[in-house]
Order: sequence, then C-alpha cells, then structure tokens
Amino acid sequence: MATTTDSSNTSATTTTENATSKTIKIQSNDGETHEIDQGVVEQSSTIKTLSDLMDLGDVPIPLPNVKGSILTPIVEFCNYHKNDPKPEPLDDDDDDDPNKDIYEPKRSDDICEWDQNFIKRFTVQEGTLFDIIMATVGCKTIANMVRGKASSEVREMFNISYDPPGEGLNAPNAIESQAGTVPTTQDTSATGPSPQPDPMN
Amino acid sequence: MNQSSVHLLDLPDEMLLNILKKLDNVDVLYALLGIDSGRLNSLAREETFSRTLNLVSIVHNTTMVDSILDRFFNYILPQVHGNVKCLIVEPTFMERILLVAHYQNLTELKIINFQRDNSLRYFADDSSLRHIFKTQITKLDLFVKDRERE
Repeated sequence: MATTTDSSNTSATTTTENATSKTIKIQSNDGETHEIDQGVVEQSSTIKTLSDLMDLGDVPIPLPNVKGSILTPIVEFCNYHKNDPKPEPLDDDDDDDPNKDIYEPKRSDDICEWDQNFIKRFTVQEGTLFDIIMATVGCKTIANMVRGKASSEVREMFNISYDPPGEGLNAPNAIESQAGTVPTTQDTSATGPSPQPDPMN
Repeated sequence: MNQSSVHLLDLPDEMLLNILKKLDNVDVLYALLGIDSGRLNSLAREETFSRTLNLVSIVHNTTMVDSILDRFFNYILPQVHGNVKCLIVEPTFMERILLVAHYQNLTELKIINFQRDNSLRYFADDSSLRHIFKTQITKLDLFVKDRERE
C-alpha cells in the first residue's frame, strides 16, 4: 500500500534558510511517496535531471530502481546534508603528489558521527549496503572494509565467486598445488589479460 | 530491513572505481588482483592503480609485513611491472623489489630512510642495481633518516 511521508522535518540541521517553496514528489518502486524540497533535489543528479525535464505537477516522479525501505533513509540523509558545502572534485592520482606524506595511507575514515550511525543500518549480508551506496557514504565504508585485506578475504566478504576460466587454472585447488612455482626473478612475460594463479592467496 | 539481491559486482564500474580511488594503490592490488577472472581483477589492472607504488606504506601500516610483501614479490609485482613508473621503497627491500621484475617504464625512485653507510653500496660499480640506476632512473629522491641529518 502506498504511503506518503513528509520528510522535510527530519533534518538535524537548521536548514530553514535554504528551504524553498518548490517541492516535488518522488515514488519508490513499491509505491512509497516522499515530498522533497529543492535542497534535497539538488543532491541527486537523477532526481534533478528528471525534475528539470518533467513537469508532472502533483504526480510523483517514479524511481523504479529504488524500493521504499531504501528511499526513506536516502531522503533522510539528503535532508540532513542539504546545506553541506559542495565536495571538492576527486584527485585522480594523488599518489603522484610530492607533498603527500609517504607514510600516510589514503583516508576514508573521515565519516562524521551522524553518517557513521546512519550507515550502521545497512549491511553487506542483507545487501542493503549496496542499495544505499549510490547516495551516501557507502563508498568510504566499502573502501574501509577492503583496506589491508587479501583478495581471498575480500572474495569471502562479498561472496565473490572464483569462476575459473579455461582449464581451471585459477581454481583454488589448482593454485595451492602450484604454490612456489611462480617466478620470483625478472620475468617480462608475466603480464597478461587473464589473472595468474596466486600462490599466496 | 528486507533482504536485497544487490551485490558488490552489481555496482557499475564507475562506482567501483570511486571506491577503489579511496584506497592506496597497494591496497587495491593486494585486495583485488587475482580475486576473480572478471571485472574486479580487470579494474585492479588499470594502469592508474600501479603507476605509482608506495611499498613503504605496507611496512608501516600493517603487522603482517612478511606475508604481504611475499605476495607482492611473488605475485603482484611480476604482473603489473609494465605499468610502474614510480616506486617508493626502503633500502631494506629495495634490491628485492627492483629485481623481482623488469619495470621497463620505471623512471622515478624514492628511497625512504636512506642511510648513507648501508645504502651507498647500491650505487657502486658492482651493484646489481647499477644498470637500473644508470639506464632508467631519471628522478631519484633520497629521504635521509633523521639521525643522519643531525
């Protein structure tokens, strides 16, 4: 059954100065409708593009890839952050930055407390972390989960199948049997498009 | 909250790259190279993730140094060597790192914790690294240990 929620009061910040008179409605794939203001619209390129292109009046913009249980926290997140300063563009290769501290790993632990509590509601096991990732701090959370992990751990954490190509060269048992046979000296022929067996993993 | 059928591999490449760019290159390679025969492995092989490798950060940010370095020596570096243009190393592992593969595009080397007494031998005429220094390296940065500066 469709429900209508006015999420404009869920913001934890004092955002009245940015509130505009224009609001639009969005609807999840299971019929849940939210009325959002322009501050929220600006944070979603998808919704912004749709609202610019479509003048649906009071008809909600359909979001066929989002279900209500995910749309509700997304709206809550956008309401909380709608007055945040715009993020700086990502530096594509700051490993080349000569001023970067050699010992300092890239950081993705600078997630504010509100965001940390927000993201705790979503898990890999339920798959909801990936549902929310498009709109939130999920990227940093996933990066934190991967940092320092071996590929075998990442494979297990995210249920990634090994799917050995060809003659099963990459099957785990094949890898174990080849441990110690990978060349450790100069080898210019070691590159190639398909993965080589990993004796350490 | 209801179960979802969305998995990591359902994310578009654009989003996966966004995640990976929040990691150091060595973390991307350690976590994803050889993880599967598909997209994640291919993404990890992108040149951007092996152009500059800071192998010092491994030593200083983990307690499992030996097993991680072994994996880099035996598996990762022999596969991505062609992409590497800049290496950041410590004298302790420098010789092994530089000899484990042929980095044909390597031109920049940063040696951290360089100690004159122990490390000058790498620049001697009979050094196994002399050919690399002579024919490839166009930019060499030496970061001297604080004790030697005093």
